Amino acid sequence: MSSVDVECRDLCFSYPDGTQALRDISVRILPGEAVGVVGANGAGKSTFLLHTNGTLLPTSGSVVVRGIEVDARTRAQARRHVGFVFQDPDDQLFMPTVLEDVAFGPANLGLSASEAVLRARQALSRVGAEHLESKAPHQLSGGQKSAVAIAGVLAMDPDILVLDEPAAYLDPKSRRALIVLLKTLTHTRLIAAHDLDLILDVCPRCIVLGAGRVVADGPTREIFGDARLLADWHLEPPLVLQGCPVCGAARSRVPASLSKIGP
Amino acid sequence: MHMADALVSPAVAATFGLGTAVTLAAASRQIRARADDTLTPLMGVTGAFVFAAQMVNFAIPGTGASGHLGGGLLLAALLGPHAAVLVMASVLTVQALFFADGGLLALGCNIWNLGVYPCFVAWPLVFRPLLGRGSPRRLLVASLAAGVVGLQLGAFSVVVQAELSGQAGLPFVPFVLAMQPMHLAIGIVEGLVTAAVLRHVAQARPGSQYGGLSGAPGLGVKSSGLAALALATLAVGGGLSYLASTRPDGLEWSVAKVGGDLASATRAWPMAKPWASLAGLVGAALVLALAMGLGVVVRVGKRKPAGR
Amino acid sequence: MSRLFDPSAVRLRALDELAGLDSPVHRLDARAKTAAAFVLIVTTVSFSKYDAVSPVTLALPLALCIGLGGLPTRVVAQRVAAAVPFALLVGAFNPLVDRAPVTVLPGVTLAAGWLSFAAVMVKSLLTVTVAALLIATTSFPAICDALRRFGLPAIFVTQLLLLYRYLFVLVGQASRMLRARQARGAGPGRPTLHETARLLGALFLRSIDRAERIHCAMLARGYTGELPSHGRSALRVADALAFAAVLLFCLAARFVPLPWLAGTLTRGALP
Repeated sequence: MSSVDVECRDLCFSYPDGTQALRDISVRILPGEAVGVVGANGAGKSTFLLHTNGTLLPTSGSVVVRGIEVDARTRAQARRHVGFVFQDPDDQLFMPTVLEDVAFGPANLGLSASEAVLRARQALSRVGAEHLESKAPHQLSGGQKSAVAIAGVLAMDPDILVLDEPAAYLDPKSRRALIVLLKTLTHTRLIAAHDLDLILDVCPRCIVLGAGRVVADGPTREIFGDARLLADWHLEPPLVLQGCPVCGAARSRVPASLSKIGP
Repeated sequence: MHMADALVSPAVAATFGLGTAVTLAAASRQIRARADDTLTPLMGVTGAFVFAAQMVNFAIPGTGASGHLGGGLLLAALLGPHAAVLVMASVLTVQALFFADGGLLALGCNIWNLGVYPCFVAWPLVFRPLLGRGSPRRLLVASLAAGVVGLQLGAFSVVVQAELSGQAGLPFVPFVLAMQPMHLAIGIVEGLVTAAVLRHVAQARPGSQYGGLSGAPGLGVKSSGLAALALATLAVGGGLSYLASTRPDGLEWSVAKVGGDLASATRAWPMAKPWASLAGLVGAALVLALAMGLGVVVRVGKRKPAGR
Repeated sequence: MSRLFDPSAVRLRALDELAGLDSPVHRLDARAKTAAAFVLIVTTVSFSKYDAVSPVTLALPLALCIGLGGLPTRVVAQRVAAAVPFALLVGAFNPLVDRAPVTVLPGVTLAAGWLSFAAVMVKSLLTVTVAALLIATTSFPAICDALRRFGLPAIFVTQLLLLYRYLFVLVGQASRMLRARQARGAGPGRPTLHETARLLGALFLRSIDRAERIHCAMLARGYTGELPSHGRSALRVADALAFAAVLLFCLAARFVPLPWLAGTLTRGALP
């Protein structure tokens, strides 16, 4: 059993039509870490994430999840360790009722029907959605769908949670609930998002992707404080680090030495 | 072109229901044998697509009328006939439950007319042979021909089903003469839209299995055998229905044949035609009033239901 | 066959949401209710072609269902009212073609076609009401599960469930695409054939993409080819009794002309 949860070595990936999406990505993620993945559109965030559960397989290089090198044979096994939350909850909630959907994962793990339902109910109460269990997915709001999607993954008791743009369809209140939830979980968390404020709030470490490469990997506050770096890769600092639009004063939670950013 | 519940007799509904059930069972078995787990979500979402597509009413050029896509031919070209007929059947079932045209009893007839003909007749026997290598012109010709054939068969089928049921207002020949030309235009439109969508898909995803040009599996020997069985069922059932329909009130005749006592008991009622009398009309009004009162009393008398 | 675009989707949702209420009717097993609905529809249709009066008897169990089920009559009535135009279409030819004179009331003679037209209307409205009540008291997934237990192939049941799940999503997408078309100055008229083909083509491509994503999501949670079906409860005495009651009532209604009896008794009681 290795002490690294996810390790990518020189990971390269090209799409069937030849476009190279990922180049020489080498990254190590330790158990319990919360790591953000940021980058402009097309930088390769989703592509990178989809390698962690074997949805995509490397063109060259390797992805090792909990000691298992992910390939076509082993990816079913790897998926027992990785819980993937997709960007659009509508793609993920496909069963007729919430309870059945959250129980889908545990049932596929071989649990009996009653055990799967028990796990599902536990996961639903973890995300605060136990009152929704007999609803149909199309009757839920965006925030509710998002919570149920996460519950569906938590119910499988994975070691690693991978979330692709989890706040994309959420209103402010649901977004805040999501942030609170993500901070209380103890799983290894890998989160791709455009919402840099969320990343700053939840992830102490952050990876910046640019044109398919890792262009920065380090403490989130340092990286987000480097406005030049962010601008080079078509990103902006999170709102909370940008200056006050009224009086022009810098308003931030990072150390003063990094706050000469300006509006 | 949907059959309504009021037009179909239980005998005809049962016959076509059985034929459809056999066909769907055969199609299900074929799909299962393919063991392609990408097919499940694809069929589901494609069904939702057809459902939504049927709600888009476009203007038929040259006339003032509007039309919408049927979808059977398009589905067969994109998914193959077995998956296509299951998807059409699912769309028609949901529509029968939720919408007002085409009832639950007539569902067997509707799936037969709108699913089986396009998928198992028009697509394999007309579209595929005419498609050739799939040039845009061949695609258009194939779609038009298959669209027209499928709709003509369906329309004729509706007439036959209604006549066999003994519930149609029109006699056979005028009914046919009314239905066929009307559905010629609809068939042409179906062909045009199908061809246009297939072209659009083929251009956007060149080389994919969609676009009717390759990949969609054919009928297979086994399901042809089962299709023959289904047709035989229809022939026998249709014959029986015809016999029943020559009586003005087929059910009574059937009942008389089967259970003598019950039949003679009902014939003992002095009014053989309760609908043509004042008593009948007055009574109907009374029963309706009773029903409404009952509905109110029962609701008021019990606790308000939970869950709002 | 043509229907207005958005309103029907809204109506679908309205009926669908009623299924979430709680009442003695809602609590009955889905199999009992589905079978009862089937029996009611077969009975309705089995009446004579000219009999618009006897089927009215079947309004009684339907009214009972609406009352006991706590269903708002307005929603049900709207659904039934939507069926009227289609029923009219079905029966419209009858008065013109079937002209055999029938004496309905003393001194009033009508073409037989009017009688069959009335019968078509009554039967249509009844069958539509039965379907609406089934949906309003039984969620669609429960109906599908009942059908599966009655022997429908599992693949077809899965198809029904997935169709229902994504139906609202696709209808919403199509609706937004139509609205976007209007907002870009296409005008209030219907889209042309060309525009429709483009729209449907685009919608279909989005559908395929979505299907692929769903498949990935299924695989990510261990999908092996079978969607697990939720074993639901066993039949209780109440369910069997309810079905038996409906069956007996339908048999009685079919062979005992209740409206005519009620009318005759009333006339007898009047001076």
